[in-house]
Amino acid sequence: MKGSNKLLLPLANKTVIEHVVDTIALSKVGEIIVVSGHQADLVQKVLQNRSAKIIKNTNFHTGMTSSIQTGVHAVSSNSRGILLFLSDLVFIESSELNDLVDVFDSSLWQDRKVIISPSFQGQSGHPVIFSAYYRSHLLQHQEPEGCWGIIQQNMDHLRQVPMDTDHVLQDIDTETDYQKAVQQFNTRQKKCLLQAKADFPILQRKINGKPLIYLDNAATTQKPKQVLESLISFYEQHNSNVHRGIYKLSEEATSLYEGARHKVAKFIGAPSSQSVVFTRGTTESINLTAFSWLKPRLKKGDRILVTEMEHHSNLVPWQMVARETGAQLHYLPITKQGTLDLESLDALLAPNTSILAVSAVSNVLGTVNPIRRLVELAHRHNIPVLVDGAQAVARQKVDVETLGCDFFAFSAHKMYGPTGIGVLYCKPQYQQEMQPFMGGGGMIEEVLEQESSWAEYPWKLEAGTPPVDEAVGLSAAIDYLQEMGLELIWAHEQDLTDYALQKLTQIPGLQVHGPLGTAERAGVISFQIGTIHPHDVAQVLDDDGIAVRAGHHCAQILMNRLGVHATVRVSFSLYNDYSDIDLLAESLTKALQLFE
Amino acid sequence: MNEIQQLYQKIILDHHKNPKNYGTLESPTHELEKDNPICGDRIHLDLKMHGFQVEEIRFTGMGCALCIASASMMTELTVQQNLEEIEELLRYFKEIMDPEGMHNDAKATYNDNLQAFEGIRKYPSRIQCATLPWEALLQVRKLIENRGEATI
Repeated sequence: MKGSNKLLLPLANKTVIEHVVDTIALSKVGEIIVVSGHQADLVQKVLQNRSAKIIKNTNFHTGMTSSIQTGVHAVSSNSRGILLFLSDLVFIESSELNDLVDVFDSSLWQDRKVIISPSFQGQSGHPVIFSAYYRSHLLQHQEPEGCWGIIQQNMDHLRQVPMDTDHVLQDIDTETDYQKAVQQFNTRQKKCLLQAKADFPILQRKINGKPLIYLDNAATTQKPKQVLESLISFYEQHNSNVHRGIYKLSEEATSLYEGARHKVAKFIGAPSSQSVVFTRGTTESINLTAFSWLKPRLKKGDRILVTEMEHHSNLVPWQMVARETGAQLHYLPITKQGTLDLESLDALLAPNTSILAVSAVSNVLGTVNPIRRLVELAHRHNIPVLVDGAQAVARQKVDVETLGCDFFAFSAHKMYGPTGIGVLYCKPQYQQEMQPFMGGGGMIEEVLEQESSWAEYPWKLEAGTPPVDEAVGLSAAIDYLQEMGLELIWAHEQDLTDYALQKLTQIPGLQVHGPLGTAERAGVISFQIGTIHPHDVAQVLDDDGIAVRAGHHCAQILMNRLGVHATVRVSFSLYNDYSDIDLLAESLTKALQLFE
Repeated sequence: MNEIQQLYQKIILDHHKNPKNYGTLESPTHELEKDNPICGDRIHLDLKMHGFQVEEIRFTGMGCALCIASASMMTELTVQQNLEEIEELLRYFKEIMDPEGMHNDAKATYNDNLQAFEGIRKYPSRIQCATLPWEALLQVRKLIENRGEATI
């Protein structure tokens, strides 16, 4: 533990201090003041989206008392009491804090000098609540390491509250404590993931009298109640237009909308909020890049490099600008295993290649493409790279700076958020070159009779009233994904995929497309069963309440390459489980009996 | 019968497994093709026409059970029929499948297998699977009229 800052140690999906602040924020405690000494700037950065007040204590090396006093100074003067929370009490839950606050409130009217301390099996623990009476005592006492003296002098006023768990005794002092905490938090989070079905109201629906088994997540995911509630709360509490009104609601809506931009930037590791443009979805993000950035610099004979596994949304926009300029599309082939044929890449990276557009994860085969490597190779030839991240963002942690890509596009609705909003990340160096292709309100600086000047990037690309409630929903979806933990989601979907591949390949005549074995594959599986048409398969599955996709999946180039005209596709998300796959396999066997 | 069995009635499954008139003609007067851009299904027809009348018909193609069964039944029902009669047959066929349509018993005088498609009423998105072969066939009218072949 020596040398490391306890507050910033990771536990499951968050750092220690984030867990602590979130626990307090969910309780009845009114205001949160975080006093940080060591690495105060980092702590501040980690907590920047939370409603805690952060105060630096430059005298932290003189002992804990100096930190307590710095904090007490900042407590509102009308507070009933002061709860001293040591920042490594990570196990305490909001409900336990509420129990303490309830006892405090009910004792205060009898004894204005009450002190509340939790205990477990006779041993007293933390946190302690002092009534406001002690404010001056706390500010003046001289012991360097805490307030034990004040408690001892006022034992008559001390009320011990026996607790049901030892959470009030557990802090993180040693490496062993920390490892124990890591384990407990991972288990707690895994449990959350396994119970995730309950967060999705639509999964309560019955189809043909059977519970809905939703396996079309590559098309769109369902929405958790946290996202749905964020939309209702926006319309009930904050609805108004953004960047316009000088009144409270409009300020709130603006800060929610711009707050979402900030959250998205952090979510994908973008260097600043300004590098995030809100669009209607992945398709619009790619079109925006094609028309606003690429087209003006495209010349006759130039090449646009795509791959054989692209979705139509990452082909057709390029075809459109190519047709207008005389440029040509070139295709990076796929191997028999359904992975990109990297050996052909070097020859395809010709000098007049204007862009490489590639998906991070195939929407048909589930193939996870080696984006970092592709970017590296393309950049060697000074070729910028656009990544279609639609299938990636809800499945794996994305960091655009690590990937090194120049453009990154995705949609909210494939990551548990609402439809109607998507994102285009664009590297700062290209931002000034992006010219608006839609004009209107909100994107201008000044409008004259004959011409206008544009607002700054990214607002110059967001003409008209933007998708405000969708941004709020996207923001809630990011919170939800992070609460569940992307690493765990990835591991969960990997387990499901392995299990499904094992189950499916046992069905006679079933042929799986795409990588089997060692190549990386996300939770998307396309297949055929004998000569049964995918539509017929999907129809039989639907009769059992199982929703899958049948067709060409907007990837006709890939279908031709695979030599089929349609496939059945199942795709997983965090709320799917093994029983979904068992039911799928059963229903597929039924289809086989019906048609063969 | 549950809904799925009602959709895939035995007669439909039989036509799907053993389609009638599957194949090509040696010297067709017309070759027609139509596909469904939504699912990529494709039906190819070889016809021997006499004026507006179908003399011989064969089909090949890729499609779901409903599409193939419909094509198979169509080849049986349209031989020696003229295009007007076939158009009338298609209207009747569509009515059988129409979720809003009146199931008009008076019309059920054709005494044919098309009635087996009534299960589609519950799955309106599948109607186009069944009508694809018919729409492929009826394209022939334009070809004939454009070339003035009807006078032959």
